[in-house]
Formats: sequence, structure tokens, C-alpha cells
Amino acid sequence: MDKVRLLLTVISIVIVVVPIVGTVLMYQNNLLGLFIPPEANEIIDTLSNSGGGSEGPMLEPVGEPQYDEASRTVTMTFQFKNTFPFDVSINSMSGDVECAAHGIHLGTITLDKPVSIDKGETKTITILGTWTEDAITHFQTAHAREEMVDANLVGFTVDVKGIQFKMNQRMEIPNPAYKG
Amino acid sequence: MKAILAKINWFGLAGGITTIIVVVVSLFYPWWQLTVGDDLLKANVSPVNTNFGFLDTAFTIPLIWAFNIVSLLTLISSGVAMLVYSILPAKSYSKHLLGFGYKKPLFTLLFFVVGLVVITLILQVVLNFNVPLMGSATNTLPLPLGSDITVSVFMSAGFQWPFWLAIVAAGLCIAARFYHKKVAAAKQPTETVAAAPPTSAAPATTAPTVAA
Repeated sequence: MDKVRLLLTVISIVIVVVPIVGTVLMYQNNLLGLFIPPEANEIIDTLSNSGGGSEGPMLEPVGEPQYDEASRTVTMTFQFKNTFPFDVSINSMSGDVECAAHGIHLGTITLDKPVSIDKGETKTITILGTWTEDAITHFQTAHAREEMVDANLVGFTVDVKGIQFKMNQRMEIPNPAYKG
Repeated sequence: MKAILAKINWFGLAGGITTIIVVVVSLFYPWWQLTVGDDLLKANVSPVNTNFGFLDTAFTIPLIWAFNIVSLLTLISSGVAMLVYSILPAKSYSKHLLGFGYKKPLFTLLFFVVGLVVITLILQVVLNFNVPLMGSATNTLPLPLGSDITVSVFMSAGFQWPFWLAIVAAGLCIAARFYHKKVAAAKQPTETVAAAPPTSAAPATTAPTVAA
């Protein structure tokens, strides 16, 4: 009976000690490796070498923006080259547009539809800007002679893989009231 | 046959089997899972197998892996001890097996929950990062001063079904400890009670007195 008790005690000790001591011995020359696996270093290296990091998505405009008077909607197309070392899903984009010179709310911009872009791939992203009726009046009265109007993109939020980047941006928007 | 079945500690048997099942399923399914963003970062946590996934790369932390092995061996030994004990609860060594086996699933469960709570509290206090134990939360990442970008991270977490199964296993093992008294008591009637020896003297009877 005492032998059973002794055996069970030995088993309890061996079960706890052997795996921990064994692992510590395996990493005795690199104790930091006990906490940080090599894969984590590889991920950090890949991210820092990719130029991705926290820069956020990079957009290149493609062609002229298209304006639909009936719906007061401007359609802007961009090329997105995924330079990140991983696939990117842009779930949404949204923001308020304000006239940079006068601070008047002009409308909102949104992403047409969610886009998934594999690493290294380039895809087209369509962004829609919907102007208010007041915005059209403002374009006609205050910016009638300007082809492009300076605007502030307030609370511009991009949802990439569930991570939301929120920023205020300065941009130029085509003036729908410009007659040339 | 009935006598053999009556001697089995059924709670112990169920607890032992459930413990072994918990070990096997925990190798494939986590007890607790944390997801950051749309599967950007995933933490699959259980006392038996903890791993992380970041951008399609899966990895484990060696020290946590060592603790996982400790838990794995602990739960297996507990399950086996409970099984052997349950089938032979009347043996002289059985009480040792029961004592060895019944507490381990409970302690594993407690260490797991306490560990999770402590880690989330540390993240909350030190990094001001709210990691939910159950449900979801949105955190804003600290960025360098002067940066005009705000980065918000959505994370969701929850306990998975192997965790609840582990609670059942721990409960059955505890119940086996209490049921042991009944099983142990059941073997008492097998000892025969000696018959009372016949009395040598006949009960005294008073002779009727006959009146003269």
C-alpha cells in the first residue's frame, strides 16, 4: 500500500518536473526563446521588411472620376497594390467630406463593396462620394470656377481585416458644378 | 454479476472516461479562443494545447508548451487512476488512486481560469488593453505621439465546449470522491455476523404453588 502511495507521489513529481526542466535545458543557451518562438521573430522581420507596418493601404487613382447628377454621386476608382506579406480584406471605408476653405459639410464617401486582395496582387477599388443638395449649391456659388476643390476627409475610417484605421485626410475632389 | 456492478464507483468511471475524452478533444479544440480582427490574430488556449495564429502563421510559446505537457500528463494519469480505482474500489490501494486522481481535473480547471483572469488583468492594468474573457471589445492601439491615425482593434473571445466538458469531468471526479463512502460501505455487509450462542441455562420458571 505504501509502495502505491510512493509510486503515485513519484509520478506526480516526474509529470511536473521533467517537461519543464527538459524544455529549460533545451533552451539553456537562449532563454529568451522560451518566451519568444522563432516564428514570432520571422513575423516581425517580414512585417518590418515589407514596408507595410502601420502605413495603411496605398491607393493610386485610376482615370477620371465619374459624376451622376441624378444621384449626386461621384465614383472614384483606385488601384490597390497589396504590398503586405499577407492577404488583405478591405471590409469598408467611410468618412465625411468637408470643404477645406469654408468648413461646410459636403457629403460622405463609402466603399462600393468589400474587396479581398491576395498578397502581391493589385485590385481595383471603387469609392463612392455622395454630395448633399447644400453641397451642390456650395459648389455652384463658392467654387464655380474651380475644377478641383480642396476638401477635408473627416473621420475617414478604413476597416482592413477587422482593424480600423481612422484618420483625417486632405484631398481634392472634382467639382460637380464646374462647367469648364 | 450484480454484486460486481454494485461495487463499481460509477461516478469515478464516468469521471475517468470524461477526463480522457477531455484530453483527446483538447488536442484539437481549444477551451478558450480569442480572435483579433477578421482572424488576423487567433489564440487557441487550453491546458493541453495552446497555440497562436498570426497572418496564417501558427506558433506556440515553448514555456507554455511545457506547461501544456504537464497538464496533458496530469490529466491522463488522473483519468487512468480514476478508471482503475472505479473498477476496483475495494482494493487496499484504491483509496490512494482516488486521492491521486479526483482532484487533478478540478485543479487543472482552476489554474486555467485563474491564469486567464490574471493575464487579462495584467494586460488591462499594464497596457490598458481590454481583452474580453467572454464577448467582444474594441481597443485603440497606442501609436507614437503626434500620429494622426487611430487604430482600433476589434476582438472577440469565448469559452468553447471542451471547457464545459472539463467542468463536467471535474464534477464527476468530485462526485466519485463522495460516492466512495457509499461504495466502501457496501462491502461491509459481506462480513458475516456471528450467530448468538445458545444459552445453556433454561429460563427459570416459577412452579405454581398449590394451595394446601
